[in-house]
Amino acid sequence: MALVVSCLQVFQRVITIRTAIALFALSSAAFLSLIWAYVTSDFSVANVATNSHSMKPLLYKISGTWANHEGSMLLWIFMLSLFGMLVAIDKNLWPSMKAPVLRVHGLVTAGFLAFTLFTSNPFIRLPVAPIDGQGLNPLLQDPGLAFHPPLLYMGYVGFSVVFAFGVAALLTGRLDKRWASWVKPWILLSWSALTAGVALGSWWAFYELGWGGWWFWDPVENASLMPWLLGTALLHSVSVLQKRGALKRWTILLAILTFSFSILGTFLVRSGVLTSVHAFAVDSSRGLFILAMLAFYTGGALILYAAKAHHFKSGKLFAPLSRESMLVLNNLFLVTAAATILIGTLYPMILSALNLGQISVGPPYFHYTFVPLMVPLVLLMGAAPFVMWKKDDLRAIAQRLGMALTATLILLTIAYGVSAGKPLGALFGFGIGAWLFCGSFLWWAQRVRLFQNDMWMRVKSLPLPQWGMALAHAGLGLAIIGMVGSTLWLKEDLRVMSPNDSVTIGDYRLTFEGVEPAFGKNFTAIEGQFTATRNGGAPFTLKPQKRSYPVAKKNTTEAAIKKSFWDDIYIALGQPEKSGAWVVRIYVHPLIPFLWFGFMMMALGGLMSFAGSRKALKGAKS
Amino acid sequence: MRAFLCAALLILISTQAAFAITSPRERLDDPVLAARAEIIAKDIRCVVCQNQSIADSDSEIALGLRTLIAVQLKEGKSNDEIITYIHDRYGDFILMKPPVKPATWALWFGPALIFLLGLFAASRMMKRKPSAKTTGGHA
Amino acid sequence: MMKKYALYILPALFAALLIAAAATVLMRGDDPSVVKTNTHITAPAIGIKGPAIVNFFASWCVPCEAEHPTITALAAQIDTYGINYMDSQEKADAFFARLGNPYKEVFYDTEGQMGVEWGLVGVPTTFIIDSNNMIVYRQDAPLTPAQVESDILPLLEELR
Repeated sequence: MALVVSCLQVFQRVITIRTAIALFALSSAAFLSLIWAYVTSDFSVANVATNSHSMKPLLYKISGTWANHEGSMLLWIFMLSLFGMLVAIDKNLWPSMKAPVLRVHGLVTAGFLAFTLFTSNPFIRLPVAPIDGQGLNPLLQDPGLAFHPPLLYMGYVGFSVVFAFGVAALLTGRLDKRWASWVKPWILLSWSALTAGVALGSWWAFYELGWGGWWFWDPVENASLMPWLLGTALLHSVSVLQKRGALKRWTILLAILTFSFSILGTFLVRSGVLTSVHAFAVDSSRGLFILAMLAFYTGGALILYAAKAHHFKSGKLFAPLSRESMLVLNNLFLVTAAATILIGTLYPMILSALNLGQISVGPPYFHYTFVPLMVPLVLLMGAAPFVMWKKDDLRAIAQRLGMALTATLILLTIAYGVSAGKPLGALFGFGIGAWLFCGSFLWWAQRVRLFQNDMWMRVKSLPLPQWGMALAHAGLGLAIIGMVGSTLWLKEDLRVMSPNDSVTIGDYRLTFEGVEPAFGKNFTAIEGQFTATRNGGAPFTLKPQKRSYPVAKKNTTEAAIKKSFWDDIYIALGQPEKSGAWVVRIYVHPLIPFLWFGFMMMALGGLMSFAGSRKALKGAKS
Repeated sequence: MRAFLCAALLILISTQAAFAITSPRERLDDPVLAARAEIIAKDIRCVVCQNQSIADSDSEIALGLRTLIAVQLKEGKSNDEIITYIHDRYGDFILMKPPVKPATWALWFGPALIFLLGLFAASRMMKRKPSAKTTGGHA
Repeated sequence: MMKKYALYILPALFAALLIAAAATVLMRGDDPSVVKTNTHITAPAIGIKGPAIVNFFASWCVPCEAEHPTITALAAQIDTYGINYMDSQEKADAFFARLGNPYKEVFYDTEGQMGVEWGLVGVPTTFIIDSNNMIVYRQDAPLTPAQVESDILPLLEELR
């Protein structure tokens, strides 16, 4: 009897694995067919006809596949099945865990497949194929945006695997250090992809949309920030679980919530319950379908959690001054931050549901609530890596931090000199970023014993996850410096300029030469001609445009941007005045390149930790 | 979610979404007043736009409100007086920073409450003294 | 022991509440971008006496043109004032030359300041004020003949 049961079990597991692989093969066939339809401009497919055009460059024909709702859902499904397949072929994962993880993941995939099939079929044919397509919005024809959705989805969908691991742990009761080491690479991979995806979207908004900012606290943006914050909390709590076998119930809850927030994001974007600058055609049947999925997956997982969580034993208590407690504080700040954004984003919807009136929750709210949470978090972040596991001593930590503190003070003095101490808030923000950067760099320097004889050996033998952590933390430090610089040290000017007028802003000197007509493929424009120099260096020209697209009956303002190592200068044309004068808006965004570089370092750090944690997993097996 | 992807459609649908370039009649020559006007405009929502302040919109209504701000600033009114004036006529929806009132208590004080509850839960995971005995708590 | 279980149910309860709120909004079809505006406040003083209709319009506004016959029909029944919004007198005159001027008097709000006074969201917008110059009705969209029949005529009867 026992033999039969175990035979059945083995058979079931084999079937589960084969199914996951077959699902991947089939959904990639579907996805590739749609890409093929785009590449060959098959306008008998309704989706291609509305979103593509035969004259587009190949890259944008391909990226056009996911630049619309139906195609993006197919990309989502392709990613889901890809991750499912990767789990299925993972040799380091024990079958006893692999099978339940794949079952849960398959259930998630089924939901999204049903959603796509019943509400968003990308393969609907037109009875009569048009001669040419309606084309892709020119703003979407940008390399940043071609790769933004795939990376973002990779992040969201990667967390579905983490979700499946969480639910599988609740189902099987297995939740230990090994579980943590299995799930950790998935968290790191998803986190890196999400970081890169969010950063790329922000980059595109800054350069291509030309609104003069990179984050607007818009519901659609918040929807991607919430899973990022929770994912960040999760990747830290899972380390505690892996090292000390503690924070079990908490980690499971985070694993469930991170993916739930990814679904919530889809809902917010697709349902139209909130107003967003990234507004687009919404469909309430799609909204209801996603809401039903949210209720089923999140609701189901949380009910399971309510029933099973108490089975997992609490860990030992932590010493107040230990790496564990630092990571608990990290989680407290990150989760409170995510909750704050959730409250701010959904509050208008909740008031509306209760008929309590309409309110707007704009950037000022988030500046008052989110920023105060980040300040102590980042201060703590600079110091936390220096704190030992289990138990540490305040005086010893202070000693290890001495160098970082000195370096920060030096940088702060330089910043004070350059900015003349104005405004104080910017200096404070800069100090926080500098502290995190110096702390992370010096932590790394101490680990590899920089400038000592055995340094190279230590550089080579420093484990990848430690490299990753130092890089990601230092990256955030740089990014904060970029954020502070580009918002609080922002120089802006709005003036009327006549031809040959000059203006000095920041390190730049600009001369307005006049306007000239300009012509593009599908637009005509008035182009301003500006000659600029930075600190008296080589002159360059800036050509902001006011375009009009006759076919689309649209006018757009194309800002001209010149990047340099330290700052970006940004010019936009406004209204014409009398006698050849124009209203001109000029921004200088100091330190903004640090922001993009910092984001890149974070994503790269995450990838290094991912590689390290996979390597550790292989090592543990053999 | 699809964060910026959707911005595409935004450009299709919404009015001129690019940031506003001010018109001559709402311009303030005094840089102090102009800076104050910018601060006020950032806190006032453009009611016909999708989640933009009147500082970022070119719509007629935003232009009208910015002109009003310029006029009232020249009359010597304070920032609060101008915001109250607009708030009285349009209601809470127009404020980017929601007012503090019973219906928004959860919005304004919720985050602090969550933080304190979390801090309490976290403190129960810490040993009081190095030798303290293990007592429940949730890890 | 019971207390301990209760703690783990909290996330599920919280999620249920959020989903219920979202479902309510979605099923009801609320459009968050439509501003619900107030009535029963005193109309800004522009030197007119109620009961009357005040209609914001502009020559650049296409729906205003669609609404024009409805306003013309109403103007025969009650004092109807027009406020020409973010426009100019010449353009308004051209608009009247083409379609006719139904208004008892026209005010010109070239800078949108009267619009702000009235809490205007867009054009066309129609206000009905009673004899105490109280705003008793407002419509932030073009008036339709059906609406005039069902809502406005009974209201005007009441105001007289």
